[in-house]
Formats: sequence, structure tokens, C-alpha cells
Amino acid sequence: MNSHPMLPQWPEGEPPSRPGRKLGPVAASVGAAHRAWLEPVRIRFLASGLTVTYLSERTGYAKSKISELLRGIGRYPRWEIAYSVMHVLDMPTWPMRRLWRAAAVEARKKPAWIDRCIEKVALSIGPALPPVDHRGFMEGKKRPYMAYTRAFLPDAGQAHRLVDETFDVLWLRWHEALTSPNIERFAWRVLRQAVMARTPHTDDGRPDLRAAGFNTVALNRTPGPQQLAQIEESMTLLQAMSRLPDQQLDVMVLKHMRGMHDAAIADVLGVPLASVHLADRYAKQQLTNAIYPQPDPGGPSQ
Amino acid sequence: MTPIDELLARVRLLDDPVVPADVVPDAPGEDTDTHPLLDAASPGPAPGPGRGWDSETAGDDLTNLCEAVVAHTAATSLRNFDTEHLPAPPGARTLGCILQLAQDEEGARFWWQYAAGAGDDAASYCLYLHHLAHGEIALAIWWQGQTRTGTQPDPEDATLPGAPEPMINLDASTPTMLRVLRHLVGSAERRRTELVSAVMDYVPSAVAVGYLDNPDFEIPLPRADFADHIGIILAVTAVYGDKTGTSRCHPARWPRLPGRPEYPRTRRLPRPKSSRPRNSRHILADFDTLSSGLLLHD
Repeated sequence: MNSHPMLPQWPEGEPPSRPGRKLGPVAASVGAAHRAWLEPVRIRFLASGLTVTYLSERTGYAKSKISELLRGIGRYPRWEIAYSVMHVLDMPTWPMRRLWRAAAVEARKKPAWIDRCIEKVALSIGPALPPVDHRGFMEGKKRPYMAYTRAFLPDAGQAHRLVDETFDVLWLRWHEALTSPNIERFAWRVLRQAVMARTPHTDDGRPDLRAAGFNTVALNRTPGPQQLAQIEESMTLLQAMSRLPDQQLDVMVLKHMRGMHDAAIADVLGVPLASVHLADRYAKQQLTNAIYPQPDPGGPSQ
Repeated sequence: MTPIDELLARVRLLDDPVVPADVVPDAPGEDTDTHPLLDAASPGPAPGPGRGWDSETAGDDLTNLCEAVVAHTAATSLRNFDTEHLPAPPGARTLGCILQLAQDEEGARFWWQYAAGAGDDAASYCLYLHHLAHGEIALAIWWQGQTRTGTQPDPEDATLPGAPEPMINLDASTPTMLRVLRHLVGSAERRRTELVSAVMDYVPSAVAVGYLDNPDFEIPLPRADFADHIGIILAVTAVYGDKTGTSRCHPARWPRLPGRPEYPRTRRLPRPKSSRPRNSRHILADFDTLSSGLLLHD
């Protein structure tokens, strides 16, 4: 049984439809959880070479409805239509249903509506478990992914849901992941995108890490009267850290906030060990310059 | 270990922190449908104050800071009024501190927000401490971000308490300066000056009255003659010297002044919505006594 979602084959004798208008972008108002399933669907659709007309004919839904679904425009789509499109595109249905449901909650759909949608479509096809290699890969990533996520989103429930979503998206895109040059990097980018979509950001557009200053081991050991000073020290450092380039920031989070070893960090990020060392060194330099600025020696201004 | 290594060593996170309630996102509801690899039944510990984090410390620090602000800036910051009701931002910040000390937290918050909106860093910092003291971490963090941490005071503007010039221009201050200040003043032996006492006696009731004068508005507007009365208090303490040690200006110690038209007695007002200082009747009576002994300058 083929557990990898393969691209649909053209039925024999039927000429491919001419491609219609280019698929428009995802609407800006689409939430993070909605985007999590919509983007894999769009990627699959674009890779398939199929047209909206074809999807419309196969699913029985109007072309306009298909088009709206693929762009995330209008009301949140019912599970029926989403399932129909994914079925034609031969996408694994169990993770899709989980993602669809999570996004329905995010879109503030009532639980009764969600349940009714789901009941209408009996899922009897498709494996309930991801491919074995996906499972193996994810097993090793569970802890570091949770650790990273909780640095930005300290609530365990929210972090669980986010990593859950990441695993499901990777299942959906598993073929793409396997054929990518570096599967760890591919997976890391999916997680990072999901985390950044939900982390509060500062005015200068960087992820806001300051809440983590309240959850340090050091603070836990600090007596009451000195706690404010400790919090403020941490927030100053975290504010400077958030301005680091993405990879340096990730290394600092995993290494110093989470205590991971360099080799483990390299494996999680999908980068060479040497670049973890380099990132750490450059990041410390940047942080030192930001937090302990040197007085102007009096030379030409920079 | 370099300094940055030391900072980084102290930013290591707890494995399983207790998350402040205001940082927890809305839970999406019961969801038993999870990826087979994740434990479905472990949503984590319930939200609460951060583990080991003591919000009372912030409350104490805020009290110390407010005392310092009032003691060192009331004379200058309360002089300037943009209109007859509205102080300039430094005065608004001082007003906020006075109200905080008088336990009118809503009033304090209002005036600090007003001042912070006009760019007063010290007010943003007061709001940061205020929200920390209430366990409102997300709000505290937001206000901390509004405080410009990069601003350095000019050396000539910054003077420490006890130096020949006791006034500190907190407009040029930074959170570091404020931290130093609050630790220096954080003494149980602190005694208020007469000016501070007089201002502390007058302001809470003058602002509380404002709720009633404007029933449509739940904001602590000072009454119309607020600026004048503050001017009087400042003038008196300037003339007779601002001495530490006594808790209250005593009219019997002032020289006899020429008689003047009788000051209309304030009618007894019903209790406003916000909490009043305990001795408000006493304060009102004292103020009438105080003002009837003064020469009014129109």
C-alpha cells in the first residue's frame, strides 16, 4: 500500500485542460491555523498542473467556490468542500481533518457547526498513521520542537497544538520534504513559520521574547527584593536577542535558553556544526555591542 | 566568563514554568483529535502567577519610586498647567504618583497613561511596575517596551538626592536612573517634607471631587481651581521653608495676614465611585482652614 501521497495521474485519453488564470495569493486576513492547511493544498494544486475547472468538475462545486477556497476568501469553508478538493488532489485526509478543525476553531466557528460538518463526511479511506519514516523523523524532533516553541509561547497547551499542527503539515508535505535537499531544514522552516505566526512581535517587527524573562531558573532562585533587577536584566538581554538574524536567534534560544548541545542544535536546524559555533560567536558579539556599548573613541563618526 | 556569558547563563528557562494568566491565549476548547505522536492528554499546568515571581516586590518598588518622584519633582512639575485642568506631562506623572500613594490606583493609571502618551518615560516605567504589582505581565511588558531604554541622561541634569540641588529632572531619566532612585529612597526612615504632605493631603480629594463635577466621565479630573490651589501650596512652602519632620502645615504658626473675603465652604459631597482616602473629611476641613489663612493672589 502506497503511504506516500502521489500526484494524481491523468485519466487515459482525456486531454489536460488548458491552464486558466493564475491562482491569486492567499488573502491577508487568513489566520495562522487556516494557512497551515491552505498552503500545502495550494502547493499540491500548483504542482499537479490541474486547473480550477477540473477541480470544479470532479468535486461538483462551482469554480468560484473552488477559487475562494484556494485563496482563503470569504467564509471559512465547510469540511465537505475542503475534503472534496483534498481528495481530488490525493492528500492524506486524517491530518487534513485535524488541521481543518483547528483552523475552524481559530475562525471562531461554533463547535456544533464543526461537528455537523465533520459528521457529514465519513472518513473511511486513507491511513490513520503517518508513514513510518515520518514517524521516526518526528519522534526525534518532538522535544526540541516543544522546547523552542515554549521559549516564545510559554503556555504548554498552545505549544502542543502548534507542534501538533507542524507534524500534520509535514505529513501532508512529506513527499516534498523527502525530495527537498535537507529534510531537517525543511521541517524546521515549517515549525518556525508556525511559531512566528503566533508569537507577539515588537514594534520593529521582531519576535517578542520578553515574557520568557519571567520563567528563568535564575529568577526562580532569586529572593524577592532582587527579582525586579533580575527580570529587567533578562528582558534587556531578550530584547537584544530578538534583533539578531533568524539563525543566530534560533541558536541562542536553543543553546542558552534551552541548554541544548551544539551537535543537537545542528541536527534540529539542519545546519553544519561549524555554523552553530559561528552563529553563537557572532551573536554574542552583537549582544555585547548592544548591551555594553563602547564609548565613541572620538574618531570619524560611523 | 565574559559579561555576556554571565547574562546568557541567567536566561536559561525553567522546563515547566507556570504561565501568568494574562499570557495564556484563549483555549480552543476540548480537542481529542491530535496527531498520534503527541500526548493528547497533557495540556500543561494551569495558568497562574509565574513560579517564584513575587509581585509584592514590584508594589514596594513602585511605592518607593512614587515617594521619590513626589519628593523631588512636585515643586517644579506641578507648576505647569496646559489648561486650568490639565497639567503638563511631568505634572501628570507626579499626579499619578500622588494618587498611587493615596491608593487611588485607577486615578494613578489614568494620569500615568496620559503622561506616557505624551512621551514621559518615567510614567511608562511607573505603569510597568504598576502592572507587575498586579500580576499583569503582558501589560507590564508592553509598558516596559514603551520606556525608552536607550536614552541616557545628560550629566548636568542628573543629580542624586541629598546633593546641593535636590531637584532631579526626570524628563531625561532612564529606567536605570529610576532603579537607582528607588533603591536610594527605599528607606523605612523616610520622612515627608511639608510640601509633600500638603500636596498629598490636597490632591486626592481635589481629584476625587472631579468625578462628580463631570458625571458623564469616569476620569479623575481635578476641579477647576486645582492649578491655583497647587500654586498656593507651592508658594506657602516656598515662603516659609520646606522643612522635614512635621507631618502637616500648621496654620497657627503663620504670621497674621490681613482679612479677606470669606472663602466659600465646600459643601459636603457624597461619596464618589472610586475609593476615597480614609481621612477625606479631615483633609477637606484642613484645606479650608489652610486656604482661609492665606493671601489669595488673583
